[in-house]
Amino acid sequence: MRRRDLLVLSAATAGMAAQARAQTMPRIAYVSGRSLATDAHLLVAFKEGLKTSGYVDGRNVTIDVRWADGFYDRVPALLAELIAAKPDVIAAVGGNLVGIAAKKATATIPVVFSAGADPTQIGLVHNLGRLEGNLTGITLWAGELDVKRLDLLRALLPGARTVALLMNPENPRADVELRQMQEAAKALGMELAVMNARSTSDIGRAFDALPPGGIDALSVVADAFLINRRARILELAAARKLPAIYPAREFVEDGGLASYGTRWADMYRIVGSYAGRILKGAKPSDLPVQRPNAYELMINLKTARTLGLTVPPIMLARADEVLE
Amino acid sequence: MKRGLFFKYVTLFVGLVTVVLVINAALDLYFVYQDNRRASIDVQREKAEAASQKIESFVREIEHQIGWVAYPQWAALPVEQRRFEYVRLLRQVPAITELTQLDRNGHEQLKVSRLSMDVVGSDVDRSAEPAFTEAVANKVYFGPVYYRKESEPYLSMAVAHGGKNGGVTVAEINLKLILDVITQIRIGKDGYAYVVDRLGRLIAHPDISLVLRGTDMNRLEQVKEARESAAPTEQVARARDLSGRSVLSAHAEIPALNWIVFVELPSTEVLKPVFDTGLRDLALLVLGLLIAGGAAALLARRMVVPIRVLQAGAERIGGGDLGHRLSIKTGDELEALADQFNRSTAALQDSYETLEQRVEDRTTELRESLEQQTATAGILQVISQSPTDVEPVLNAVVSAARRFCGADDATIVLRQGSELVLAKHEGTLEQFLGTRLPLDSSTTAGRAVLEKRTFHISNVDEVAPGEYALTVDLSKRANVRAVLSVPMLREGEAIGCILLRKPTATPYAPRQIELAETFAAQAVIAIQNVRLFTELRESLEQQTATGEILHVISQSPTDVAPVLAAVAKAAVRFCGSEDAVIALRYGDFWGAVAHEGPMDVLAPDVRLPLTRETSPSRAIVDSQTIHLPDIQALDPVDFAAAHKMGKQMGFRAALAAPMLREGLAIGSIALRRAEPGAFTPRQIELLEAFAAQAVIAIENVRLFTEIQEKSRQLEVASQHKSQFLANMSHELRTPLNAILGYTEMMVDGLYGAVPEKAQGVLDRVQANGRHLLGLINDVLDLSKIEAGQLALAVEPYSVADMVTTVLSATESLARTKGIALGSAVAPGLPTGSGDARRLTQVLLNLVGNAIKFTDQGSVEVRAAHVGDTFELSVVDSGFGIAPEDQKKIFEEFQQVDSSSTRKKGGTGLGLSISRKIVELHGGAITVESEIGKGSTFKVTIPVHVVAAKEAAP
Repeated sequence: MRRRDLLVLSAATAGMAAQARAQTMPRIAYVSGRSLATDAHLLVAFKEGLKTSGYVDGRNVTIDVRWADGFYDRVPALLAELIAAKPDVIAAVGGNLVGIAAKKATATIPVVFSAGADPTQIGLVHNLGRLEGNLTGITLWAGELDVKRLDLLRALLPGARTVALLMNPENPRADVELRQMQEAAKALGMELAVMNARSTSDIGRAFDALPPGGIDALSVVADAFLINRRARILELAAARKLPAIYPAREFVEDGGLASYGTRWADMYRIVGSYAGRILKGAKPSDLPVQRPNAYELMINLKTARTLGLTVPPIMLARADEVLE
Repeated sequence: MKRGLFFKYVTLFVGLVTVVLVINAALDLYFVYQDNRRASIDVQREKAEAASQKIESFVREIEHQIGWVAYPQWAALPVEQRRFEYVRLLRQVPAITELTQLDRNGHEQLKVSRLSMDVVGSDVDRSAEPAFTEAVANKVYFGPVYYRKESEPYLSMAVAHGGKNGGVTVAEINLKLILDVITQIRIGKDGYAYVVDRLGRLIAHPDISLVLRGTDMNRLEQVKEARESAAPTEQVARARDLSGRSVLSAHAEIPALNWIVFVELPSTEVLKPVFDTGLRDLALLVLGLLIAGGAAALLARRMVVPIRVLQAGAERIGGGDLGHRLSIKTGDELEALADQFNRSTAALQDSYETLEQRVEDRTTELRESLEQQTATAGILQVISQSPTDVEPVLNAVVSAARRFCGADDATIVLRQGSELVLAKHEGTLEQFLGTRLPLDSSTTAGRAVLEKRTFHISNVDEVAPGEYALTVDLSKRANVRAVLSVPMLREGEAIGCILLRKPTATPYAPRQIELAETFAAQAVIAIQNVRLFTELRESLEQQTATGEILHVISQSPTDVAPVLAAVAKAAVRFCGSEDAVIALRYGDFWGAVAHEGPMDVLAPDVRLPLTRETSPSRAIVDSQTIHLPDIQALDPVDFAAAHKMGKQMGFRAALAAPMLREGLAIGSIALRRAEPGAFTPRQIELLEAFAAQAVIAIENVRLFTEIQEKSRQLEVASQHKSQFLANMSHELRTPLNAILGYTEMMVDGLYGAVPEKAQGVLDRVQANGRHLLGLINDVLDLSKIEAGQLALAVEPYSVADMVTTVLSATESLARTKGIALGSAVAPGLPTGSGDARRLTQVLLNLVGNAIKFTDQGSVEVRAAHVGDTFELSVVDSGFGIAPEDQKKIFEEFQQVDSSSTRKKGGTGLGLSISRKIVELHGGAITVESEIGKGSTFKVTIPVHVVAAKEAAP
């Protein structure tokens, strides 16, 4: 009799506790400028980072995920929708614009962004180490690498003279970066053919506009939209048999020739851990914006063979990973 | 107090154990703490050393890796080869972000970077940089830590190539990668390590965000101390970390880099074993206390229980239980003490018992004395409670005397004339209540009464023969031996005595005799009291009776019968008779008018001739009280009728008092008794008083009837007068009207021209006729009022209109006399109801008078509304009216100061009529006046006069 009462009581208590937990469970808004198809592994990395602070989605934290599928104009609406649910922290990832939109959307809810560009130059923060306000995050520093990518393209294809540069003019500071790249190209003795693409159809048109046979190589600028259109770009580059260097290893994994950039998953892990630390009470301003520690060069030899290319030994030496 | 000893024992015991245990625990804790601290310090120092070695080896490993390219001939290799080698180096050492080759002159020859473009042969001069100069000088150079983009800590490392033309390879190392080294260091549970450069800036910390923010660690005491201290390895110190937690901090230097590695462990963790020990000691302490408490309680009980027994025994003995003995068998000092105690108690018990006997004797005496006093007081109380009845007192006295004077039998004997009567008795001996004894010396009682002193015979057998013959005789018959007689004395006379008897031949004690005398005195007081009270009550009753009769007289001024009935009743009640008759004289006859009692009496209409044969008629004839104690004993000739009536009506004694008015008897009151016997003087006196009162009542009625008759006659006369006046006035007016009418026609020349002389006469006839008519009208009014024939014609009226009417009627008169005539009527006066014509007449009369009696100044009419009444005032500035005249002016035919007012004319009836009219309205008229200053006549009338208010017919 007594034991049964105790059992009933403890079961009721447990039920109540579960209910209470659901009611008080913290909530994370995860907004990505890209799509589930391209970035599913990054969401996994984010969750891994979150787990370092002891948070597991659905158990003690709720993550509301929204994908803009590369349409940056959808981002503010997605943010507004998630902010209405009163999240405890916002992860604004998958493009510079997402972080900027989040900064505009709220001045109180902590925001962890992932920026491809230098966050101080696109107005997200003033200083990477000493922050103010409700924003922190990571930078992939891809902007600087755009130049390095041309350098590596040069090393990969010493004979290339005209390089098509696929970029999104909508990306903040696109013009500055273009200028830097043009200077670098000049120093490398190369000529840039700029291909602007704001939409999927733009990409096709840009490729169509290239003079047949006049282009030796392709460099894709680090841009969330472009990265999101990975498959299309790879398809078009392959159709043209254009040797290309890409900003993310995912391109190479899907058949691109080479990539240089940071390992994004590592960085999204940091985004996740920052979100977790903020849920535990840390202030965003206490968490400095982190830069990547490692940059990796990937080369797909299979693609090189398909293109009839011989990869110079120094590039093979330099490559962190070579796909056979 | 009660648990004192026990408590002390236990406290002492527990306290001792506690002290020992606490000292033990404190020492234990101290040593555990010291051991822990020492062990912790050793561990931490070792860890710090290990960490510093690890970091140094991390850096040295990089240096070693660079060393692979730093061989003398390297600079001479083709650039592609050198670049290849740098690329390889970057692959092998992830921490290197950039590699630069400087030639022997310090000019940049090659740069390979992970972030920026590779540069070949830029030839930039960097020879002045310390990286070059120091490396050339010391082979290896470690630069200061710097922050790229203000967030990432970097270190420049330069390695000189061997040989003359070797140059230098400069590597930029991202120190974020030391993080792995640092985080791998595990110290305790929450311990951690961090690295600080020579400026105190944080280079590595498990929390990378602290490093990225370039945290200045100089604010931590331990960092500051370590930097300033000369000694290469310093002791572990208690310190605080960045969040202010207390930590145990140890550090080790990395000499090559001039960095310091800190290893810190939270104090709580270091102290954990100490806490554990503390808890263990506390548990031990509690256990020790419990054991000590139990042991102490057991020991203390053995000690304290006998002491408690002693204490309880002492308490019982102290409480009076002297029979109690202690029983302690401990075989020690306590037992000896208990024995001593028992002996003392026994001694105490002996002396106590002796004392007790004495106290008991004394108490008995006191109790007797108290009982006697109580008895005396009891009798006094009975006296006070029984002021009207002597019986309870005598009962109490006889009972107390028997009880407290040592007698078996007590009797109260009262003196009645020349005899003694036994009045009260209580006791076991033969009763002879009501027995009468002769008042002589043959009994002790007789002698006590005669000689007024106490007689005491302690044994009747020893009385000299012949003495107290009756007493001795009676005593022997009743088996009495000792007799005591105490006289009851009042004002020097003995009214009786108390007789005490008993069958044993023992004398009465002096105290008992004394007490008996006291009782005798008390009995006298009681008898006296009752006598006084009875007298007082009788006197009061008589006065009450007289008062009652007077009251009846005043209540019945027109009828004598109730008074006479009351007198008869009172006579029966207060004069000691069962029957009373009141007789009145009718010329030469008399008859009975009132009767009280059971006996027969003459019928009211029976008249008997006035003779001296019966007591009532004899009292009337002789005008004096007749007292017949026994009619049978009277001369049958002289009182023939009395004899006859006495037999017929059943009375033997009679008393008759005459009712005298101015010396003549108008009747008599007679008392009758069935038994013969004299009436007391007081009864006679009282009957005479009643007779006087009856006379007063009869006289009253007679006078009252006379006055009533006279006033009725006066009223009739007055009515005749009024009727006469009314008739007369009417009769006078008719011819007068004819005279005036014809005169007027003559003046108007209807009967031809009137000669000059006759004209003057006619004018005078007219004027006098009109005056006469006015007089007659006034008289008519007055007579109507007095005859009760004036009826008010009640109708609504306006006061303002009334005033206006009056003013317009009198205006010309005032103008003629040069007097200002004005009015002040309050606005908004309600409509009144009353006889408007009569009220106007009143006002007109007042205003006319005012003008008439004012030679200069003004006359003003004022009207106001006060409550339910109107106030109409006529104010003039005339001669005024003297205070003594102010009342008279409202009476008929009265004018102030006839001589001076006569010339003003008027009948003198106006104010009288006005007053009556106002009074008919239920109002009043008053005057306020001062000679020479003027008068104010004020009329107050109800706003609404009840229509039914009509004069009586």
